[in-house]
Amino acid sequence: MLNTAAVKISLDEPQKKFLEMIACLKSYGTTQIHLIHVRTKSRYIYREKAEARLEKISEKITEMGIEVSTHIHNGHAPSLFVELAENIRADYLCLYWRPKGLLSQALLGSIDSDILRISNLPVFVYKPRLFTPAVELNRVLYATDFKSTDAAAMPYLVDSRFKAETLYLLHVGERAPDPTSDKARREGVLENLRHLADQCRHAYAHVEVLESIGLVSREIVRQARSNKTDLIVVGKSEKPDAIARFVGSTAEILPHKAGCSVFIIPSICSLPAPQDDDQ
Amino acid sequence: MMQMKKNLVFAVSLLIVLLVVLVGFFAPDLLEQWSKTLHTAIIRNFGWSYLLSSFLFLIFSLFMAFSRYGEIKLGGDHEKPRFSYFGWFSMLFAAGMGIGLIFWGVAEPMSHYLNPPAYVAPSSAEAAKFAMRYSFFHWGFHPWAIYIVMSLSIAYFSFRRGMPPLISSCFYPLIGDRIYGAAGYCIDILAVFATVFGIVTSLGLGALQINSGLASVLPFEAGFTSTLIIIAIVTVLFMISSMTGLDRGIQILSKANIMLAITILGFMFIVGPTNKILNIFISTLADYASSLFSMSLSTNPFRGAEWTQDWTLFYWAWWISWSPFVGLFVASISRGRTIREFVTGSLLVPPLLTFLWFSVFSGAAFNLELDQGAGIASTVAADISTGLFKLYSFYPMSNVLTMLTVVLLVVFFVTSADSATFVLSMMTSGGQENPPAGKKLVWGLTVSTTAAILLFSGGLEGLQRMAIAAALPFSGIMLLLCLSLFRGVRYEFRKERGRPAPPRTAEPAPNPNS
Repeated sequence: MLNTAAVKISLDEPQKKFLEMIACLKSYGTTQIHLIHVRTKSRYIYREKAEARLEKISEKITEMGIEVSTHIHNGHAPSLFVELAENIRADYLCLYWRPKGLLSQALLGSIDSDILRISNLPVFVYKPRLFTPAVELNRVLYATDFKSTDAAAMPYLVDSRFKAETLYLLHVGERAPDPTSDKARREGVLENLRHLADQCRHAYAHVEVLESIGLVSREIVRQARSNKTDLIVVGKSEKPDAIARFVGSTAEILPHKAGCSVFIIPSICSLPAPQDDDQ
Repeated sequence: MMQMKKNLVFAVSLLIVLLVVLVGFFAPDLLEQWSKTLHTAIIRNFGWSYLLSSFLFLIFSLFMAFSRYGEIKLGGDHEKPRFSYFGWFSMLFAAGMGIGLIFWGVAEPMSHYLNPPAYVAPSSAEAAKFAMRYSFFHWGFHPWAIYIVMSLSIAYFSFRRGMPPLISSCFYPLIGDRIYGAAGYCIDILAVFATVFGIVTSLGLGALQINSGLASVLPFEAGFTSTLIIIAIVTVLFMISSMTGLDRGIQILSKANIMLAITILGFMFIVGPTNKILNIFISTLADYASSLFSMSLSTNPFRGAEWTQDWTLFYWAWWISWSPFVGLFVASISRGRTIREFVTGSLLVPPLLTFLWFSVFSGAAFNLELDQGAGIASTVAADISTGLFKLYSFYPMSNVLTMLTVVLLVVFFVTSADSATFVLSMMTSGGQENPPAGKKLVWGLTVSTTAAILLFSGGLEGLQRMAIAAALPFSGIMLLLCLSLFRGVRYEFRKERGRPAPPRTAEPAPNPNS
């Protein structure tokens, strides 16, 4: 399921933190990594430098017991990265997230944001921690909208390699127009969450349900922070509403705001068959 | 403790009203100075926001009517309207315009004609055209759009969602149970504040005009004592009407009044310059329609800004401050209608009657003024309340017309005061649909006494400015109302359509704090 990862590398990531991310991926059962570096500079000397640095990092990753291959391309980074990841049949993409300033984001855009927007594969956004490496998962928060994204996300959550101590199932909804309907809405949400919790209970020591109202991305971040989660898992709808088309979907906004790593699973991404998973 | 909390809005708002009235009585100059400073600062700095928000309210009303949400019923899915179209339109008109239209029907176009903005030559044909267009504008779609936003929200959240008919209830989708706390209380207290001061001012001005009308046909001199007697008589009348309840008192009075108004209107139309009136009506209608957009957003920043501040911004602030009262009242008479029916009905029929009123009365006045130099404009300039009676003096049976108009004013006065008393009692009783008689009595007496006291001390204009000052926070509240209502209807369409309708009864939803 998470065997093969296509990892975007820009070669200016801190090596220690980058390797911590690779260790993290290994803990999810990843055995093969494709390091993809897309260059905008076309001079040959830069390519040589890039190859040398990639070689050095590859050696370190191989020492960790992971099979690694490297790719260097020139062109539009987001589309090339996604295209290559699909060609090599990666199970998911991985981004080492570095926050951008508001101004540079507005003027230059963000390759990572574009990848999140155009990818049809799951994307793991690794947010490095300042002190303690986030290798082992302790608490995972899954934000559900009870829609088609659940069908895509649930197999990952119940996979035995996706191990964590506690799973929080969160639904952020919209307040009903009156207290009676809101009470009924809340009861319905909690019932659905408990149903989801029953499906996941075998894979975690603790499963808790959380219900909240408000702006979805803000509430997810708030709940993740207050429950000290290591990873947020969200689905990505393929039918964004008008506002999402303009400012980005919740899944695209979350990595900018969350204080922990985020795993984004598009609703259309299909899982490999069980026999592929075992290979 | 519970009882105290239940009456918090009543006690606090009554206290604030009494404090302001005391200031108005003992130190009218101080009230004048404070209110003037506040009013000037608000109109100068936030005037543009009144124009913008009123325009947004019109757009929002049209959106609600013609989007898919228009089919939502303000009540249960199979509920029928409580009042017939005639009863409904009569009460809409009586509460929304009524007394003001009689006061300004001749006076406003004449004032614009004499004192237009700097870019129009005074007392010219252009000034007459401008006067008619802006009179339509000030009394046309925008005031009703402001009322619609308020009443639609209250009607939706009370009759469809089963919450108490309070303005604070409309904020449930935005702030949830906090509507039962300080935020909700503040909104309701502000609404009571604006309603009391609005109705006191309106009744004070109405009493003055009744006095002028009576003095022009009866052998007495208009003065404070006669105004006081008028207020006392009208108070007794509206308290009797108020005690008989909404279904009978206000409805009967409103229907009688609208019939009387149409009779006077018809008489003036037939006896007056019919052809000219029709020409003025259709020309001004076209003029109004074609320049609606530019008038809606024009503050005239380069020339004529002061005129816009004195008239358009004043009106917009006035309609907004008047909206809690009219909104609550209109909501309470609109149960069982669909949003589309409610919006189109309110946006078409009362403005159309208003346009006809202006065309007939101002058309007649302009005809006399322009062709015969009747001096109506100068009479208005000297005393605004006498313009209509001066016009009658050029018509046959002028004494009968004056008396009928006085009756019309008295009945509008009674219906406005009656509905205001009902609304104030409802707002200060946690939204009870049948508020206690004691509260009706308290508010009725408060309104009348305040009007009398301030007429005596000269603090009426100060109070009017205070009501307009309350319009600034209220325009913000109303913009949030639009958002809240939109969220409410969107939720209904997204989550509840196709499911069995939620149980809705006349009983308000439980308040967790009570």
